[in-house]
Amino acid sequence: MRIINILITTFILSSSSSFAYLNEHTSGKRSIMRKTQYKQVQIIEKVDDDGVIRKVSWKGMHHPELNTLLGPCYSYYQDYMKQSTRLRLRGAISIDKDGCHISIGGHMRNVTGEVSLDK
Amino acid sequence: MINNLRVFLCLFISILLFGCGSKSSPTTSAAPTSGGVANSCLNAPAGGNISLSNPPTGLNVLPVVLNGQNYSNEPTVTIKFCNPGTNTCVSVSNILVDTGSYGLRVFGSTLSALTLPQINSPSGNSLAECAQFGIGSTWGPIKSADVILGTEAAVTIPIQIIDASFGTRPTACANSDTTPSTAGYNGILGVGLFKEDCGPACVAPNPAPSLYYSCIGAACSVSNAPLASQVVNPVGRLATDNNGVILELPSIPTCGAQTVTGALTLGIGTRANNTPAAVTFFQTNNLGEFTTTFNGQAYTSSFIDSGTNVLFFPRNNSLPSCTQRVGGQDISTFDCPLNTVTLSATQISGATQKTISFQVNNAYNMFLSPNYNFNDIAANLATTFDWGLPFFYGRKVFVGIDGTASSLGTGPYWAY
Repeated sequence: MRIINILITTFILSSSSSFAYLNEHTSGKRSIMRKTQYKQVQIIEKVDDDGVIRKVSWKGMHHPELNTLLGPCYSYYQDYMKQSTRLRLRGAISIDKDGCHISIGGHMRNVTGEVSLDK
Repeated sequence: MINNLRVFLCLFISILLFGCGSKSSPTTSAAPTSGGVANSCLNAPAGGNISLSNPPTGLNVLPVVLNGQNYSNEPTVTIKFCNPGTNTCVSVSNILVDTGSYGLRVFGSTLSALTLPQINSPSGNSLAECAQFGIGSTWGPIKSADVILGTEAAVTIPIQIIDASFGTRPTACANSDTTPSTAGYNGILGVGLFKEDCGPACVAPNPAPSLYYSCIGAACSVSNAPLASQVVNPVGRLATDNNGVILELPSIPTCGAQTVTGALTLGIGTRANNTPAAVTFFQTNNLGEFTTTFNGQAYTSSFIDSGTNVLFFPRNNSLPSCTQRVGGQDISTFDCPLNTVTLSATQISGATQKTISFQVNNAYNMFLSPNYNFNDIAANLATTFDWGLPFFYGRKVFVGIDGTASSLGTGPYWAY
């Protein structure tokens, strides 16, 4: 008989003055989704079964500090922002590189983003 | 010459690989029909200079120019700024028309002939802002200016002076625009659905988001900002014509046009030149968003944004990304179908639905063409449907400001 492992995903909601970042090793619960309210931004972190934050998404009045939140993927974002004026996309970006998947967009008053890192 | 060489190389490689845009043809699960235009937009001819056939006229009309001077699909206007209460003014061209933001921002370097008064934070220090967009940000102080749109009477409003050297830029603005040449514009005219750029969320006692800052010398800290001090959509402050705008662009050919001229008309139903006729009305939620269904998925946070220069939507493996580089730069976010792909998506607001058909062509080939403006350029975004500037071609789009009324209804709404 095939064994099916069921991953029980729970949501933990909290308000915080800081937030975790992609690829951070956490010591708390594993296989959970943590929902954090950071200022006026809602951040959802997905903690994998190995205790590592593999995916972070956000939505709110402003972007969280991306240099922290994007963790090892931040350099790809920075490289993109240095692209020439003529070729740089306006309004949103989407980057898939070396296991980093970054989507950032939205509009004033409601900016959004999602970043994940392959195992 | 370099472009000609690239086109030749592309053609040569396309013969070998059966396509210049990708390694395989797209699987168009999202595409009910796909066109038969092989090598989409390869060797596209110059699309000419295209204007509205019957442009509106009047004191409430600003010509909109898309000349590709800086980047593709950039709608720009000229605005006059003056020292408050005086006739000392400067006209600044190349200001981006942005329905995805609210408020007027201009590089300080373009206003060196003016002396504009600083607006203070609630604590009595200099008010500054790290304004944030879908991507990118602008940093600088908030000052008061007289602003003249078209030939309307001047309105005295808070504007943001974009100045990366002001105080100490917060981390959130680490990648903010620094010069007009790198930004690609001299300023941004945010004429979207709201009157202020932040609104009640920045007003005490709400916890201040990381948008407004109070600065003493170089030291800046997050601050609240009352509505009267926030950067505002100047249209909302006009004596009349203050309930919204109409952005109208002509249709352009597949594979692009060199320059395009349209119009930004102030007010909705306030004059003969802005009276709506036979339009579909889309009420938005309190964030200015509505639902778009595409490829069987509902995207509830979709929006219409003239400041986004392509159509952004989830590719979901239905379109190939561009594999080439242009000028050494990775353009893989752009879509590069081998052939023209025709797609459709449905905009939904309450009981109102409208299905929009649109085409996607090969971005790489379009970059090689002599054209700068495209109605069929698209890019991947996993999270939502962003109806960017290509949506505006061939349409007259009404933008109804929150809390204001017109014959169409009460804002926030879109209509076209």
